[in-house]
Amino acid sequence: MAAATNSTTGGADLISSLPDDVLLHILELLPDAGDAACTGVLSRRWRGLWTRLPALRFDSGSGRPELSLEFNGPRRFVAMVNDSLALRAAAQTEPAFQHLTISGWIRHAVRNEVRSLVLELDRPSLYKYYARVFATTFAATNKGNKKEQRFVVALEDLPSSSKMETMRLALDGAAVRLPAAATFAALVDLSLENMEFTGVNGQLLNRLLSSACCPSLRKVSLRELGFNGQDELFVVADTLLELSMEKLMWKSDILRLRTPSLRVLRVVACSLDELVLSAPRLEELQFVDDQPFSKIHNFT
Amino acid sequence: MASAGSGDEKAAAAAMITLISSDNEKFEVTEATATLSQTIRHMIEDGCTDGGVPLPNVTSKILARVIEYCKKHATAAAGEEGSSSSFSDAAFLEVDRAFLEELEEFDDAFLEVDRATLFDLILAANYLDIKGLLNLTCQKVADSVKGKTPEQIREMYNIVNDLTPEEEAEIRRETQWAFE
Repeated sequence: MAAATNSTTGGADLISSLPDDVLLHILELLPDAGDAACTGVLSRRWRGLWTRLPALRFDSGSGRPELSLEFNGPRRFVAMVNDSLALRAAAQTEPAFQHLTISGWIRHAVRNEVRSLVLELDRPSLYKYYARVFATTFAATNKGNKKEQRFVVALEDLPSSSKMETMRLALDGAAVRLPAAATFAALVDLSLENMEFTGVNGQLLNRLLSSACCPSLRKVSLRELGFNGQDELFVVADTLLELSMEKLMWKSDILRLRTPSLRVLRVVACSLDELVLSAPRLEELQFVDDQPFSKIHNFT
Repeated sequence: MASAGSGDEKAAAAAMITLISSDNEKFEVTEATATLSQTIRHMIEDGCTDGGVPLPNVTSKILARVIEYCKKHATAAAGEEGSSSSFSDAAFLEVDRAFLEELEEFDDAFLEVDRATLFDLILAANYLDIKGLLNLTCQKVADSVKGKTPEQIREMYNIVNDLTPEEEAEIRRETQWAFE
């Protein structure tokens, strides 16, 4: 009854007297880490509070259109993510932070034992255009030298994580080098989108999806992946319940699955030649393809 | 099996809990309504709700609003359980959609309160651990802060800037990327 009932509150600073966990909850609901970081300058009470946020979200698309329109926008975005991660590392007792790129961010997240990492990359079309022009001129002036300027995300030295539960990477056509030794004991939900695997990395993808590497894996989504090697995709995953594959392009066109727990399998536009399937508990199968395959084996 | 289930539901619906506000007002609510609060749910599980649940941090004015929210959303929760066990045909989906829209309208209207009440609701939702209400009320504050300059936020919420000009300059330098 004593509380003011008009819209002004008699000049009292009610928001600053909320407990830390409530203020952090409010900051967490802001769409972008930049909005949260801005509050650090409000007063002593707010200084550094945002560095304790359990989740950081960086978005160059919504709210900051200048980042995707200006030519040096991407550079500014990278600097922004790096600066805020460095401040956070300094405020917390996280491992020291060095300047990072895409693969560095992923490494940093894994090393800091984050539970959920979502990275959706879509380079501005201007960048893609210049990369292509550059690659063509390069190829024209160096006949015989077929090496293209490739956009590479190098994850071969990714450390193991026993905390990561969800990982979603969409990498805008990058050539990805996968780890050969890391394991992800708690990873449940893995989504890989828009990347290419050359050479040995096709094999390493099989390893990544295996129970030896990810013993808790339940849900996998693979979308728009390209394989340059001759290897077939051979998934041996004991705990996997749900597997979705869409627009996968590989030379061997053979898909082998040994997935004893699998309930849901979705294969869309993968133009398979051959499917070898061992999934005795399969309940739901969706198969959409404009090229009917020549062989299906089912060992159950 | 079906009859036993509905019997249990009836028993649960009939179970009443008394909540006592800081100014000693008593509110009778169903267990289904009260257990939207994790804090009260734990009290019920521990069997310490006989003779009423004293809530020394919540005034009768705020508790009445909180109960209003919980009643509405407890019906929603019961509705969801019901629909998940039945076939999701078009008619059911239609009913669900209408109900969700109604719930959204309720939430919007519920948030039409002055700022002091909003913060009291946040504190009550936090103390009683009612996730939906905490998200709803905190989201309203987050929306009001979004895209505003620090000066605008200070003015809106009567925040006194107790940083020295040097300190403020230093923070702005550190987080320059956020102000660009």
